[in-house]
Formats: sequence, structure tokens, C-alpha cells
Amino acid sequence: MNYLTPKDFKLNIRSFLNNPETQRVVEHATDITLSKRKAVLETIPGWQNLREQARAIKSYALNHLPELLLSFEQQVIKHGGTVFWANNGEEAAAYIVDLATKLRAKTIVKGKSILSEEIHLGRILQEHQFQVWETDLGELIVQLQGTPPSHITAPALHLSRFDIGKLFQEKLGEPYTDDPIALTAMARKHLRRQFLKAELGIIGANFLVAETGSVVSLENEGNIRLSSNLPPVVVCVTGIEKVIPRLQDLSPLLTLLPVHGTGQRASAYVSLFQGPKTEGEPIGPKEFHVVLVDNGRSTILADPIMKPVLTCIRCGACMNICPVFRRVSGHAYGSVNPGPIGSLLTPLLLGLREAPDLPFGSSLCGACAEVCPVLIPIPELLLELRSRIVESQRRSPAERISMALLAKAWRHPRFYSLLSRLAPVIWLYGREVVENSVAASWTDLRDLKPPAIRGFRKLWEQHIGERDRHA
Amino acid sequence: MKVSVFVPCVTEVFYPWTALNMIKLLERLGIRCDYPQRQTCCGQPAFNSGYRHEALLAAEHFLTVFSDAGSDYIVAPAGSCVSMVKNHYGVLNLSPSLRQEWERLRGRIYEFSDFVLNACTLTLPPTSLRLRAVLHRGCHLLRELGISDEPLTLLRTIDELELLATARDSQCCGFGGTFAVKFPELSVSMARDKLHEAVACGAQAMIVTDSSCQLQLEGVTQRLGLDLRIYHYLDVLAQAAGLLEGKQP
Repeated sequence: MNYLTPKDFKLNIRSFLNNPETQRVVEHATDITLSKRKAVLETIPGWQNLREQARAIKSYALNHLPELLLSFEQQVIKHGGTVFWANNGEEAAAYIVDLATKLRAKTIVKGKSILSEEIHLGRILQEHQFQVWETDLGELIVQLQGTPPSHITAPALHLSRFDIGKLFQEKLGEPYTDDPIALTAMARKHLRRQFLKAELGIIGANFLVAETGSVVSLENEGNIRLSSNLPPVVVCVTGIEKVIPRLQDLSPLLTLLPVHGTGQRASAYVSLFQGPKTEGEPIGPKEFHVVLVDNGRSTILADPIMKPVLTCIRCGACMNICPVFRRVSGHAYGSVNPGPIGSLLTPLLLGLREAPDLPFGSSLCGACAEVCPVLIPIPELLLELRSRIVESQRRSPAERISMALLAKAWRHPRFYSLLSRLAPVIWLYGREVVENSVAASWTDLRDLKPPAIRGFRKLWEQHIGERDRHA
Repeated sequence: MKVSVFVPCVTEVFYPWTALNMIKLLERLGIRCDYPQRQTCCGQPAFNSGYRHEALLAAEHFLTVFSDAGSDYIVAPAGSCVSMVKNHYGVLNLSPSLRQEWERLRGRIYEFSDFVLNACTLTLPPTSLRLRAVLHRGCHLLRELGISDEPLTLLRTIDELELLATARDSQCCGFGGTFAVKFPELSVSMARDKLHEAVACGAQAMIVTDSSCQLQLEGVTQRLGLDLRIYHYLDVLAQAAGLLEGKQP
């Protein structure tokens, strides 16, 4: 498996920046989603108000998380389901491995779940000799390729149809084609067999409704419906931050998520799963389990500044618009959550030391906050993480000294003005030295404009002189 | 009405004439400004890099200098620095008295186009300048201050200035403060794509709204040897109004 780590972000981006082919594919795919998003939003009057509503619902839920989760649990049990609370990924995976072992399962079908990637569930199940099949087309593609997903809503965003044609030829033994419809048919044919065989289905959740115990899931391929109805036992594995109070709260969320995720007015399938099959129902699982996973979320919840990060509904719009993501694509981030929101989530979930460069890898252009459907102030939170990293970790002496020097100059106008007057002199006599030392990370790839010989203060004095003469 | 100008550090060192052009444009509109001599930088370079203590030192100095100046308005040629003062000083550990000062001051600091069009509701007299250009909307002016079309409105008073529409006019130039030196390849790649697009659509120039974008875009243009000029919109306005002495911007 080709797992890059978030610690190596600075190194990782180099190889991706030198890959114009992938860049082109990612730009093309994200451009399509963004333009569809824009077009659909124009048909929804007052969509800006929906963002405020969605944000309010998600923050209310976070502020009342314990009682909402308990109510959700009660409702699931009432409907005949089982709830397991997992403190971390290991506990969640152990529960599911145990379940699959008891079932003597051979084949497991999985709907798309970002959390399952976060806790490496697929890999762990495979290590226990279970045949696990990702059933979302994009997820299946990256599974066959042996790489993690590169985007949260479009896992195989970085691959072209030609790449996928070759992959299916190699791994599924199909004749080569780059026709998307034919490729989809191949995946369907292959997956149908697995759906019919599977003893266990694993799904994720977009939302959990506390009032009714419903697991809400949005999809376009129908694979989640099959994963959750055909196998005799179904597990939903999900983060605790997904809960919302009432069924009616779904309204703005079901509008905003597909528009921002895939540029659709609505997802093809919206399912509300409520426990196992009851009498009279034609299909459905015999057992229905929900695994509620914390895995670092309660630490973010207890952090008043960072808490809004948990309101994220995982639409991926911030990735699509981000000029950094569009260039380096998801894998460079070394985390299942890439892009702007990932640059917050990854260090918060894994610890600042595990991803010290991610919060700095943004020009703070603000495009992410502009598109975020739940109004997460991503740049402000990145700035906050930067300050925490500076406070808690050793910085390079060069950086500390230059900041101290700047601060000194900012407080002492004479020193500041001296520096600005010295700049052109230093340039005149020491250009080469400057270009090869302190300014090298600027001048390696671009020119540095020479400082103006007559700085603003000189121009101002002259201007005042002229103004007074005219007066 | 007393107006003080704030001259950001990048403008002061690399593009001092842009600040002077702003002052001349204001004077043309009948607004006389002063320049508080003790001013330094807004502190954004430190804040942006996570050095909040150093940023606080700059903020304290800024607030003291401009409160002493006693002006009704503070006007600057850069949305990014205005946003730093207006939107970010609040998270710094200011003393209660300076916080009060900040609350008073943040409503009075404006970027030039916002000041002219929204605070004063003035219009620039029509001028003329033959130029085919694309506009680069600086991120912080656009998204942190919410000033989207004001620079464009001012530029439209220039006859014969042809502004070409581009898909990337609101995309970041890749400067981002210390981002430019922490991630140089990424930063330059962002500038390059914008510049190539401008050249491809036949522009002679890219007009920017902030000196720091200009520093970045000019540096990359020169290194790549592209046939494209990078102008600050204030320099273009001053040039068209015949306020520039000597060389072109």
C-alpha cells in the first residue's frame, strides 16, 4: 500500500507538483464539480440562508452531543438494533472483526465511509483474512490500485478513464476500454456477485438523527442500499459528530450536501436506515449494528476555538476550490482528510507533531471559507493552529531571529525607517549574497524586485514641499 | 474630514510611488491626507506565521500611532493589511484600553476603492489610457473585506482601458506572506498558471489590487520572461489621470 504520511507533506508535494498529467486530471474534475455547483445554486433562492441554518443545526448538535447520542442509541435499540461505543479506531475495528468472525463471514461489502479509511478498517479486515470489497465505484478503483482515496467525495479523482481502463484490464481481467459507461458496467458485474455472496455489509453515515435513530446516507450508485439490504448483518460505522437533533433538520443539509459535494440538486438515493428488517418488510438485514466512534473527536469538541471543525459535513467543496489541493491532489496530504479542512482535521486528530507543516501549507486565500456550506472559518482556524505550533515546537533559529528583528523594527519607527532606507543599499552592494542566503527561497524560482532607491518617506517629503509651495 | 494614510511595508520598500499615487488621487477628489510619520507595519507577516506575540507588538504600535493621529479615516492601498487591522487584531491579546481603541478604529480603516466609493460615495472623473489588461482580485480585499467590484468600478472610469474577463481572476497569486518562501514551488506554480492565462488571452498587463500580489506576480513574470506588465490599479488610475510624474508605473 502506498501510504504517505502527513509529516512529510513538504516532501510529498514536490513529486505531485512535477506531475502535470495528474494536475490536469484533478483540475478538470474539480472544475466540472465547481461549475455544476454554481449553476445549481443559482436555482436555489436564499441558499445563503440555508448555510446559516445548517451551521446552526450542526453547532447546536455539538453543544448537546451527549444527550443527542444517548437519544439516538435509545431509538436504535427500540428499532431492534445494537449500538457500540468505540473510544478509538482499534476498539471499533476489533468490534467489527469480532462480529465478522462470529458470522464466519468470507465476503464483506463496504459502502463508502471516510471514517473507515481513518481507522484503516478495510486493511484490518483484510489482515484477518476477510474478503473486503469496496462497492462505491471510486473506492473500488482505488482499492484495486492499492492506494488510499485522494478525495473524500471523489476517491479516484486523480485518475483518468484511461488509467481506470488499464487498471480494470489488469485487476479484473476485463478487455481494455476507456469508455466510462462500459467501465461502470464492468464494475457493476463484478460487484453484483459480491453483494449476493456477502455475509456482512459495512456502511458509513452522512447524518444520524437523534429523534428517530435513523442512519442517513446519500449516494448515487445504489451500492449503499445493496450493502445494507442484501447481507444478513449490517454495521454502520460512523463518527460521533454526525448526529443531528430532528428529522426536519435534514432539510437544509440534504440540499447543501449534494450541491457542494457533486454539484447535484439532489443525490440519486437518500436512505434512512432504521434497524433490522421488521415483520412484513420484504428485505433487510437480520441484524443492524451502529458503531459510534470518537477517535479524537471529543478532544476537538472540548477545544472551544477548534470546535467548528466538527460541523464539517464532508462535502469536499473546500478541496475542489483550493489552489493548493488542485495542484498537489489528495495523496500529498498523507491523510484521508486532505485539502483545507484536512489541514485542520489531520493535525487535530493525530496531534500537531504528526502534521506540523499542514496548517502552513495554505496561502490563506479564503476560497475554502467562501464555499463552505456550514461556514467553517477555515483560514482563521489554520492561523490559530499555526500559533499553537509556534508556541509548542522548536522553530528554526533563522525564523525566530527574523521575527524578533521585525518586531523590534515595528516598535521603533526610527529603526524601521533605517531598515527601509538600507534595503536599496544592501541590494546595491550585496545583491548576490542576499539572493543566495536569506532570500534564496524567494529567488530560486522568481526574481526579487530591487527595493526602491527613494522610499516612501522621501517621496512624501518632496510631495509635502510641492503641496506647500502651491498652497 | 481628516484622512491619514497607512503605507504597508511592501509598498514602502518596493512600490512607494503607489502610495503617493493614492494620495494624489485623493487630493484630486479634494481630500487632503496626512502621513503619521511614526507608523510601521501592521504585523501581518508575524501573525500569518503564527508569531502572535510579535504581531501583538506591531498591533499595539499601530493602534497607538493612529489613535494619536486623531484622524476620521485611515486609508491604505492594500486590502490585505486593512483586513489584518480590521479582522484579525481582535484575536490578539490587546490590553482593555487598546482593545477599546481597536473597536473605535476598525470601523474607520478603509482600502482606497472602498473609501472612495462606499465611505465617501465619490466618483472619479473620466480619464483615458490605452491598455488591454486582465484584473487580479487580491484575496483579502475580495474575501476578507468583501470588496469585489470596487476597483473594477474605478478602473471603468478609464476610457480605452480594455479589461478582459478570465476564469482565474479571483484565484490566489500564491504570495500568501511567508507561504511564498515556505512553499516556493507551490507558490510559484500558482502565479504561473494565472500569468499564462493572462498572456494566452492577449493581455498586455495584469492589474492587481495589492502590492504584495504585485511583488509575487512581477517576480515570476520576470523569471519566466513573459511579455506581461504587472500594475497596481492605483498606478493605472494615476497614470490615466495624468498624475504620474516621470516614468510609467
